Amino acid sequence: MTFILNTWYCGGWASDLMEKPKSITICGEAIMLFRDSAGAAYAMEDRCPHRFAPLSQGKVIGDRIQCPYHGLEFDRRGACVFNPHGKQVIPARQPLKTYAVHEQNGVLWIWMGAPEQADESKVLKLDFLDDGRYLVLKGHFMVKANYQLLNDNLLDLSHVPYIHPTTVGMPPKHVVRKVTYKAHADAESVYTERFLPDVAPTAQFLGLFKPETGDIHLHLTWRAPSSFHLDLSIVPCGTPKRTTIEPDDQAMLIPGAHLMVPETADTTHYFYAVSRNADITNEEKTVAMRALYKQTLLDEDMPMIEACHRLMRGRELMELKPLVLESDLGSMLARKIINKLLAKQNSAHATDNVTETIE
Amino acid sequence: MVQLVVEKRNGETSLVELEPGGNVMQAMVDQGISEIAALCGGACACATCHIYIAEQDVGRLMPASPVELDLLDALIYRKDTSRLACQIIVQHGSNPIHMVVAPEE
Repeated sequence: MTFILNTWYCGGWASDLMEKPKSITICGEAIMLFRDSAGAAYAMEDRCPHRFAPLSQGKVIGDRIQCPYHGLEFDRRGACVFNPHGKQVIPARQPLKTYAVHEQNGVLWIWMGAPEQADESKVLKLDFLDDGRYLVLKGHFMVKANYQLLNDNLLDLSHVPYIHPTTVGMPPKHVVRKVTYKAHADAESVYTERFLPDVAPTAQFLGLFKPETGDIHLHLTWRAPSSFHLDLSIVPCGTPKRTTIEPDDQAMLIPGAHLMVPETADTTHYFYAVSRNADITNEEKTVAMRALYKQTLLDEDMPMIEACHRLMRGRELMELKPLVLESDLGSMLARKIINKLLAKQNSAHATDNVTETIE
Repeated sequence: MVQLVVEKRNGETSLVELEPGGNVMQAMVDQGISEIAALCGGACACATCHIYIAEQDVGRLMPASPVELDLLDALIYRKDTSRLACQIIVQHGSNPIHMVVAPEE
């Protein structure tokens, strides 16, 4: 098994799921999302067991989903409960596969393993997403690369001065020697800290940080297998890092969320949310902010990551014996944690099979 | 000279020698223990020089740093006696230090 299943993946932004069902493929499984009459989100296999039509193209009727092809109706547990044809007989059959859904901070989290094992305490907290003090921009795009390369990209930000010299970074000569970097880990998370003292604010602060220079702090949390919270801020030189600020404080906070969701081994959903706490009603700044992140992610990061993926030709990174640098500590920790979780999942799976055989 | 008795993955034993103050990973690589990939060259970032120290010798070494412990904890084949060879600097000692190369992750 290539993917970690006993975990939460972002299945979309809650605000994008309204009356119409949606589809998303995660870890190779086609999933339909819909809301019942009370507005609660449900997820199940996106394939009618009759002619294998995509249920996500069907209609929600009360608490049921109607197949767009022949009108069979399914309830929230994935059971076929209505056949409009003939004597209306419904042959006995296992219900469709369902998935646990947890809506938190405006994210629809989907647990890909057995629903009864879903552990809501493991969801990454992204409180800035529903905190009215921030202006938040959200988006989604597809990347033709394995999700672990997207993990590496954020866990090793030493690429920033080279790939993003005018957007979220500054040219190498200004920063490479100044940056300090730390990383540590626990069983399912990696935490990295980058500190850039006394630097000119980068373009992502949108000209809203007034002093000529400041201290940039980036504290990043990675939760296995591929969700990130970026706690990014600039503060007046020599003052402490902030988590909240008072109105007259010159510090500026721009937290972000980057949620990678493997579609297949070679394609990945990239859900991102970027924010700012300063001048949040300024439309012009918001337009500039949207353009800046579009350039950073779509024009700068993605072509490079996709090119690396192509050159790796489906091989695992460690199998290719890469050169590993000190700044790769965070990405190495994450890759090892993923390996360990996969090994645990596969051995649990093997044990299950043995038990079945014995019985 | 300090002697290391290294059991390789095929069960064969090699003798590695180094000066006090020398780095265990570097000595192993220099003296032909090719199973030690050492992809990061000793930066404590890749954990490809994972070894098990014989229990009686664990106490003779400086304890692991927090970063080394984080890397070790993330390994599938982690044991109580796990170390990263690149983080071990040997001191004087008349008895050899015994170690086993850990399986590839």
